[in-house]
Amino acid sequence: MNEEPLDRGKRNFLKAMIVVSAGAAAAGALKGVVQNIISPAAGLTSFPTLTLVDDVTGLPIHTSDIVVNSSKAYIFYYPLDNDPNFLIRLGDTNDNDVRISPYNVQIPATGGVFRSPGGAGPYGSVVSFSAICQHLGCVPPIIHYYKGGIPIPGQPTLKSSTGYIHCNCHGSTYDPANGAKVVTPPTQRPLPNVILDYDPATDTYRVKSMIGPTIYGKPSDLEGGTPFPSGTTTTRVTQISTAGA
Amino acid sequence: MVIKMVDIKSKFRKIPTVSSVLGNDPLHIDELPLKKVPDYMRKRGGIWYWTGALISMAFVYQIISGLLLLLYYVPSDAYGTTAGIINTVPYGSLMLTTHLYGAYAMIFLVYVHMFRNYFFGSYKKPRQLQWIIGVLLLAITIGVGYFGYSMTGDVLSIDATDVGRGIAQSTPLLGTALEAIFFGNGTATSLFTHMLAWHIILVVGIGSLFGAHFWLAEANGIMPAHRDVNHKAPAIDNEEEKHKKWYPYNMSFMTQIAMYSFGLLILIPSVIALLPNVPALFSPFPQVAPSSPLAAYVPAYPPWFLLFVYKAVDFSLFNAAGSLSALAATAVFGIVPLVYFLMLPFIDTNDDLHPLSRPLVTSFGILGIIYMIILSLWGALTPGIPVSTPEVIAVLVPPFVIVVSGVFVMSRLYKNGRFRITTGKITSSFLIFMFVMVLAAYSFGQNFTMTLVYTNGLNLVSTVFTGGVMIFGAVGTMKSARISNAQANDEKQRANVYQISKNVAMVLSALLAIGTIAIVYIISQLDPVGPVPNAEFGIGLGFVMIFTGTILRIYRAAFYNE
Repeated sequence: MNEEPLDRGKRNFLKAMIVVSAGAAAAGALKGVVQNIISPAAGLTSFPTLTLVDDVTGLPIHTSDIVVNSSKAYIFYYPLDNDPNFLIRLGDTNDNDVRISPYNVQIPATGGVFRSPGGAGPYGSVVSFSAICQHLGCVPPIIHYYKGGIPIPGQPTLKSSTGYIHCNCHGSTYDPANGAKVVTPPTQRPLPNVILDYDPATDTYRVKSMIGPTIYGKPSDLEGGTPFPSGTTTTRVTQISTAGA
Repeated sequence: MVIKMVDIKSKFRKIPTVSSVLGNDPLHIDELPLKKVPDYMRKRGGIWYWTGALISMAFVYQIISGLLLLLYYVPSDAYGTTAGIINTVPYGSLMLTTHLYGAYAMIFLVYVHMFRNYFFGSYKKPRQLQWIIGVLLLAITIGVGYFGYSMTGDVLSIDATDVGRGIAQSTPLLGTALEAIFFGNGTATSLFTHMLAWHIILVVGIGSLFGAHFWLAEANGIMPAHRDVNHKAPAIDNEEEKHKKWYPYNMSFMTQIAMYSFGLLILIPSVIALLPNVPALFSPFPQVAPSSPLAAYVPAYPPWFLLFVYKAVDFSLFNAAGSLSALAATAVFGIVPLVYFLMLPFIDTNDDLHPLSRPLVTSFGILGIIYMIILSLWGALTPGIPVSTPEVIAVLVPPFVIVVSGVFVMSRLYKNGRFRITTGKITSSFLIFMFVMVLAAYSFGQNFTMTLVYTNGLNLVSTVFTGGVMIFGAVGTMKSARISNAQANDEKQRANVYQISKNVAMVLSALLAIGTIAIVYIISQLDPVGPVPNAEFGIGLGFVMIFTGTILRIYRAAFYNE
């Protein structure tokens, strides 16, 4: 038809208006889509208190159920159902209980310090840490406890009567007798500590909360996983073999 | 040497224009095998020629929103995750409500598209296969809608799956297999995993058939006006070379339609989401879970697009089929029409395009629409109430008699040359005709039933009255069509010239563009989580898209004179 090649300026102005409004529409839609595809956080608002129970019997575990310097790893999930933690009864090279005192643990990555609660139980020897390596997230049995006297792969000079937690993915080593502080890099963070509550009357253990760095790979300890069903009061301790790992 | 350096420098200083870098048509749009179309298709009322395009827009929207919903839907916790999408996922409520209404729009538009081409005779040579694929697309679209509707796990979706399951199971010989194929092994997780999987598998089917349908549409070209081909098939557009280029004319028109479609798709459910007491049939949100004590208060509805089959199941005449009664009702009111539409190119093989030259096909089409609307309304008003055979006859036979005889009379007049409807007005004429017929036929049917049960003066009067309205509607439509015929040509000339001052266009478009920025700023402040702020966001975003479409409209009016 009678299309006018003139009025280029007006034409361009209208084109610019189209671009502006289409840009506004795209911006609005994009905001919606981008925010939509970011999954909202799932989790808890506070730490639950859970009693440690035997995986097979479902009954609360007692001190005698935890073998000193066990070659198997005792694992329980806390605070969400995908967060594994070690339960370790520390002993010396002769497998006698060693009392673990509270300890100020340094976080090399931030320079911060947190207070490790020390050992629980009748001999003060039961400790618990997150079982996810703080370096890149390897889990048991690749990361596990080596009792005193057992050589740490690639670290022949490391010697301690209470042993180490060592990750075979990239060689990070932690000291379980001192709040899982960093012994060898590449990790820049100690393992998060689990705070245990020992009841001497019934000889049972309860987990109350966690302290230290955030569990590896999570926005916070209480988010990034599925909470236990409401009303849950226990968490099961399973044993996994670390042989060959 | 020095001079050369300066040369290069000055070249660098000059800001290159986009077209000098990318060329004038970097996407090679001009080379796409897209048909050029005549101007009238882009003018007022031209939207009737783009029902297929509108379906495609809705389909695109459905794919985008559906794929995003896939991030959050978990079949093992269907209702929980659906509620989570509404209440905890950012913009999840907006996605879900617009996805539902996008489906509604798509299904509704598929019907509109089909009946438009049905009355227009588009299923005739050379578009027979295109028509058949289109009917298959209708069936699959309804299937996708059914599975999608069943995914929420609310009380209605459980009812819908149970009914569908029962009908599948009652199929002779194949029942158990059909049930296992579509509904899984009976566990809830298996059921919803199957709903999700079939919802997506069938969409893949839509996608591939749509590709074929669209290719055929481009290959066969647009359906020209009937009078250009002397009302005879094959209707082929021989004037393609004379039309304006696809790019930029149709491109800008399509973008405008896309903006309007997306805008309305987002706007409408968002407005409805904020309204109180929306009936279950049109609520953009799922109902309560089946375990809720409130579940008993939810009327047992299927999705609205299956209401007509649902009411047919209530007909006691199907009781004769015993345990197969629901299957029989589905077959008679669902499968038989579908087969009829599929076979239509083989049934109506002559080359007459005018609706009145093929009175039987036309009256079946009108009856199909009337029956669908009557049965749907009936199902919505009295869900699950059994209907005796005399009542069925009283409601369904009068429209049949009136429509068939009415169309045949008009057809006779048309063939004698005493009655003419121009093609330009034919769609609106038939729409008015159907609308009056439906309302009158429905109330006439109800009154007629009442008269059969209680013969008294009042019922007799209202039966005669509603019958009179039907006849009035039919005659009135004939007259109006004849009048419009006389004026059609003049009016067409006048209505088709659009002019807008370029300065007015600049002011208007600037205002609209500022409006879009303001709206986007305001809605970006809203909480991304929750149905209410999501609905407000949707209203804003819908308007922004409609504004954008409007600027395109102004541009086309100012510079293309369209």
